[in-house]
Amino acid sequence: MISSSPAVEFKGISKAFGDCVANSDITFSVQPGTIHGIVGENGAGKSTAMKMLFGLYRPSGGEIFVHGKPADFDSSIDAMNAKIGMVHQHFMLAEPLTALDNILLQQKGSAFSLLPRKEQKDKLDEIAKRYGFEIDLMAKVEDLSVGAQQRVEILKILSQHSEILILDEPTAVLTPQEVRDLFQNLQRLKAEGKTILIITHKLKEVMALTDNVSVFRAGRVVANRKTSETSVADLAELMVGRRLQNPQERRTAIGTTTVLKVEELTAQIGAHRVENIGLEIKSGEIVGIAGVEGNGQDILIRALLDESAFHKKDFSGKITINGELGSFPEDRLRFGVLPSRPAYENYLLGQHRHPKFAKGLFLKMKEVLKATKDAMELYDVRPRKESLEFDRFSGGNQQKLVVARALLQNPQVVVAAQPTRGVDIGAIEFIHDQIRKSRDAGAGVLLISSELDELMALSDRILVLYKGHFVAEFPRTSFDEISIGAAMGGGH
Amino acid sequence: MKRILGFAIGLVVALSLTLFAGENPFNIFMILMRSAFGSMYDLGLTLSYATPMIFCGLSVAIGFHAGLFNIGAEGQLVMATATAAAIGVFFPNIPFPLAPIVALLGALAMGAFWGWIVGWLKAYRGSHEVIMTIMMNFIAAGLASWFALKVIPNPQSQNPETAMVSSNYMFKDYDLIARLFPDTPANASLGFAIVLAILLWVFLWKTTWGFELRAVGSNPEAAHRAGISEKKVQMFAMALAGACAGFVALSEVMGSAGQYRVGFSPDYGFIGIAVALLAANNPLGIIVAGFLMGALHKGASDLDLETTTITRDFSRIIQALIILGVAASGYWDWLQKKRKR
Repeated sequence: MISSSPAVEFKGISKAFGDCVANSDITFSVQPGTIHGIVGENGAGKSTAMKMLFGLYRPSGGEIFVHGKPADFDSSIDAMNAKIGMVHQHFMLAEPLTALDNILLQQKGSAFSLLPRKEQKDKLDEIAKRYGFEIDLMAKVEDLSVGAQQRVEILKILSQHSEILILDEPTAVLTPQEVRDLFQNLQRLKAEGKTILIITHKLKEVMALTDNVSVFRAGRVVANRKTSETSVADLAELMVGRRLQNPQERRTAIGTTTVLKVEELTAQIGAHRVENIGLEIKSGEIVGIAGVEGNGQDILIRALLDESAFHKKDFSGKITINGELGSFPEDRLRFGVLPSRPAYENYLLGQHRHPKFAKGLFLKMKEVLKATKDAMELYDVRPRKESLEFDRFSGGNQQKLVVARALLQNPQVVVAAQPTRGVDIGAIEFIHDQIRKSRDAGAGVLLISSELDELMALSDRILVLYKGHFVAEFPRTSFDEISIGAAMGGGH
Repeated sequence: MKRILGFAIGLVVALSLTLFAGENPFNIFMILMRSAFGSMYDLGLTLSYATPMIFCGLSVAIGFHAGLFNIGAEGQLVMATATAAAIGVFFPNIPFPLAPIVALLGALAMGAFWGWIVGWLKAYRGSHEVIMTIMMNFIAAGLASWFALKVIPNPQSQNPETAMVSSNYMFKDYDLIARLFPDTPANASLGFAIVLAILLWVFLWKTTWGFELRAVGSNPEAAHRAGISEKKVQMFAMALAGACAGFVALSEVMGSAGQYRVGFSPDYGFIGIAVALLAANNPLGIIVAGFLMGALHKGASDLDLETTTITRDFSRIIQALIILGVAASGYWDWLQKKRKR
């Protein structure tokens, strides 16, 4: 639809959940046929705003217009009828079903769903081809790579003839190559006149892809800019509300003692495995593991942190750890914490038998509370409430607490898995500083991350894990996004 | 606070139902109150019901704290009670202070064992504890009945019950609570129930083991990564739950009846679920919740006599509506949380 009115317009939108104001006075507009970036830190209200557009929440005040008409959506079905589609950060796919069935699921009752299967497939193939989202429609979703799953999600929307696409953090799970492909395809969609809203916190991507950008901070839109008239540094400052410091290069030297040694490790759980890998970390060294998720990182982490998870026959090799081990898991809510319990119990978890916190059978609750309070102070965890349930903290504050728990014990070996996943920029900066501090204090750090920027910022060298093997190693002097990305994709 | 409100709403709704039977709800309420608290005799009966309900409420609560739904308190208490009676019958000559202790320890061990089996099956065979505890209830009922009817039946009675234990096993002469409520089964085990509840509260919130148990209940994967063996904790929790239910032997065999009677329990084990729910699994709250449920149970027992249209089964309806009322208050919290998201 071509019209002079904006494709999407937010006018003074606010949204409150009880006392908590998630959005206030959000105003911006998106012209049809453009790509619009929605950037901001975690908890800045980006997703809330997009969910209102997609009919999942109702605004508490203000109005949203779609193609000039007021959008008063009761549910996402209304939004879909208004030709709006959304790809959620966590895919909404039925894994045991084929890609085709997943797409048809959302088509229930439509004319399309009544066509013979063959025609449905041909039609979808045609759409896929036109926009560059080719996939094997007959493959089960669980067998598809993350990138392909995302293409299924996008096809799902396109098959409904959506004109406005909302993508929530679409690049979080992709390799650099996949990101490039996705962006090319999104440009193609734009050329066809579709309007795209993309939520992201990766500013480089905003610069590369979008036409306009709205910056969210603390529930408000603090700036609407033309992308061509802004810069990464500008956007970062707008997002955080202050200038970020440039990370400093290390001043200490890498030590000589080996603190972590993995030899000829072969291990597997299900389809995930690592094969005959070895690595060695000296004290004061940060070794980064790069790789697309599912190439064995989870197995390596488990081998280090939880050997008992493996069947005996599925595990061989030798792991030597010299000293105390501190770790934060890749998925904090699943492996790291008791989400419904207060902060102090989470701080206690794992140290609950340490003489610091336990005397005989009894816990020293006073010490626990005090230690938690100190840690929250030191790591600036907000709000400073030791008794608040863990899942009531924001992602960044949750992670700070988890990192504090691991690093404040001055471990000699640190296994840091996805240390800043789902964490805002300010907290990322802080957590990175803490990891560097730990390194400077002589700890050897194994850093596993899906963020290349993070790996390149912190690591002394980077090993690339692909299909369970280390396929490449890069010393800090030869870090380069393209070649590391190529190794992650299996090429050299 | 919301729970008490939920309790009240459930009670009011249940009483309003009596309108359909042509009764005056207020009148019914007065009968309930009088029957539960009207005299020392009534109060004594109320307390004698409340005691096993507290034990079973604790049993269920311990399970919940470890993330396990123990529907097996009924089977655990039946096995424990039969065991205590068996010890009393087989070893009549143990002297007094020792005898009830031995019988109690035997009962606790049996209750713990009955729970532990389920914990083991859960930990090492991945069986679901709900199914397993239900099955174990049937096995327990069958075993105990066989025991009472075929192994040590009561020669002086046609009823399905075991022979009487010798008097060394009864602590009636030293029982202040029994003296306070003469001619009722109320006994000193009520004191044990209160002490046990307090001990479990301390255990859950102040000790490393209690913390580990709750950690496993809250997030087994995180507990595992923190070096806690969730398998051991599950087995331990089920054994502890079984032992709590096993305490019923103290109030039933050593405290009042002196024997195991088939069907003595009006489903204490299941009422325990309601008690735990009512108290949000807080051991101290369970003392109060057990008392309320005991009062309800006793109160309803006079409905048969004092009205023509309402029977004692009405207590089940009240129970159900109270549980709905309390559960709905939890649902209310959940809704509010959800809306906040």
